[in-house]
Amino acid sequence: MLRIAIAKGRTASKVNEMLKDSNEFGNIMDLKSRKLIFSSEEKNVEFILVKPSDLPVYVENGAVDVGIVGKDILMEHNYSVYELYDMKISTCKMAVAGPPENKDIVLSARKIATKYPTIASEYFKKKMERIEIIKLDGSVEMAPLLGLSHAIVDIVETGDTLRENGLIIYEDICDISARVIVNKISYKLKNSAVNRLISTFDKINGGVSIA
Amino acid sequence: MKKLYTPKGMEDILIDSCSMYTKVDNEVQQYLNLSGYHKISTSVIEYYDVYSDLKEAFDEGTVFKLIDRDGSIIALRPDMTVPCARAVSTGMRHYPKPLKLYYSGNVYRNYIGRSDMRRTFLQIGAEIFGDSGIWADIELITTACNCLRKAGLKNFKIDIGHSEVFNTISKLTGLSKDEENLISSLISEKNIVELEVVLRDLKISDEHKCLLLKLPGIFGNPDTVFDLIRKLGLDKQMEETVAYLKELYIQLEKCSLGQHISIDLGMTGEQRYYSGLIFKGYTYGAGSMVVTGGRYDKLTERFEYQCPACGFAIDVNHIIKALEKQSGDSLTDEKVLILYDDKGYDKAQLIAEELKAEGIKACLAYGSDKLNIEEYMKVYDFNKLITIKDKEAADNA
Repeated sequence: MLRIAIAKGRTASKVNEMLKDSNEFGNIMDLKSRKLIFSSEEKNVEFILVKPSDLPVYVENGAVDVGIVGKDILMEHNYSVYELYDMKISTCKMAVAGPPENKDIVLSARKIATKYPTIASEYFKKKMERIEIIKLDGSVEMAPLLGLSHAIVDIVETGDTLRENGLIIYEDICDISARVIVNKISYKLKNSAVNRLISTFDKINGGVSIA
Repeated sequence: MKKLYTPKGMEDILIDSCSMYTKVDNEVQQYLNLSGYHKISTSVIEYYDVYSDLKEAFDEGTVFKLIDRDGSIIALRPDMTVPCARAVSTGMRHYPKPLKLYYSGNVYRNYIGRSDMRRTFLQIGAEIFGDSGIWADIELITTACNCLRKAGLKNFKIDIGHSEVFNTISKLTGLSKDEENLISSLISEKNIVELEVVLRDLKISDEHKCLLLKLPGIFGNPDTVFDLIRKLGLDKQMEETVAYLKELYIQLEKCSLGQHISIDLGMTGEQRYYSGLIFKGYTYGAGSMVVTGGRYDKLTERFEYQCPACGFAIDVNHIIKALEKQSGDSLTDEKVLILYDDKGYDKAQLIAEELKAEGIKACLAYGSDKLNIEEYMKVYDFNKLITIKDKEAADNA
């Protein structure tokens, strides 16, 4: 039995769409239902929908074999898993943004509001810039508008949310997309099934993966 | 209310689980003892200096540190191999080699930020000091396999790799120290996605790029892997390394361990002190490695002593996790409860000692009204009851 966890939401529906023509992995999930576990005895596959930030924990501990989750989650914490494949879906970027008037502000330490304190502090550490992190859990755009911070570090997809709140991008940090991660033991013990899953995705993406 | 709990990642191991730990611990230690390894017990607290220049292997943040009364930084040992190397380099230099040691004890890692991380682990391990030959490596893997069997595992795999596979490419291509660290960790994490990005901008030959990119994927059944390698066309130095692994495999197969062995060329020795063989063992249900080991000929140099060495450490926590998932019914030992009353203690004691002499567990209990015998026997796995009042039962026992 190959257990595959998928980040709930956008990633799950994209993956489900990608797999619909696959004999081995397709048509197992029904995303309209409220179920979280979908298994197929005959295909020997199980899909589990998991909150993105929890997903690597399931994979690392071997509760599931494979996980599909955004790179942002993998960058924020250091998990001991194999990162094998770039799904090239749910693409977006991590960026520093804020109100136009704060763009070139010079301070001994700018205040940065973010859901991603590790990514933000690593980035500014590399730039040798001193900052102060304010960790928030959602609607980070609000922080500079209310004067809680000077800027934000967040995921930008279309840029609509930023624009509607009068924020602009200062600089890009990196590109983000969904990745396939695999438990280190599962990759060895269930290697052929894992590779079949990856090559299924790879065929759809039209690439030639070495995995 | 803090006094009611243990700190994060620490735990009390209560009787059921503790008896499993003890069983695994005893079996493995007894086997190592029978194999002529000598037990040593090193200090739980070391000077942090013992680890401070091994940052690649022991991340500074994950070592538990304390300040000693004289101001020096001391640490709870994050592993047992380095203390063993220190002990051999200082107190055991003059012992004839090869010197075979084993240990059993807790190590401490200050993993932070994640709720699922333990911070202490019971490790049992063996080390061979003063033997650099292939036969020491073979003995080490054989011993590790037998220890896992003694611990109760039947299905397990040992992945074998060699630190020189990556080191040779690194030397040939002249990678800088930073590049080397980054690429080495990406390879051992099998992070092909990032590896591709990093290699793209690197000024090394396309053949070497291609080879580095393939390394994470070269693992699995030895015959298949050696077949795959033959087609790669390697540099001469790497050919020698591969030949070494092949010879190891042939010898292990002769010892009927072939079914447990697989090869992984992508093991680059994340713990940078490896200088040759690297191996890792895993099994269904554990989620993590149950044994890690290899050769570290340069380790004792840090303690001003030249002595080749190799060893392995078994992670008992992960073995228990696997055993719990794998085994259906474990054999329970015979365990007798002996009930006595105000007059019967001397007799009960006598019977208990006779049983214990035969290796049968025997436990005394005073038969007061408060004791619910049925429940007591069930909870503590007693499968036989002797009541001293009952003369016949006592005589029969």
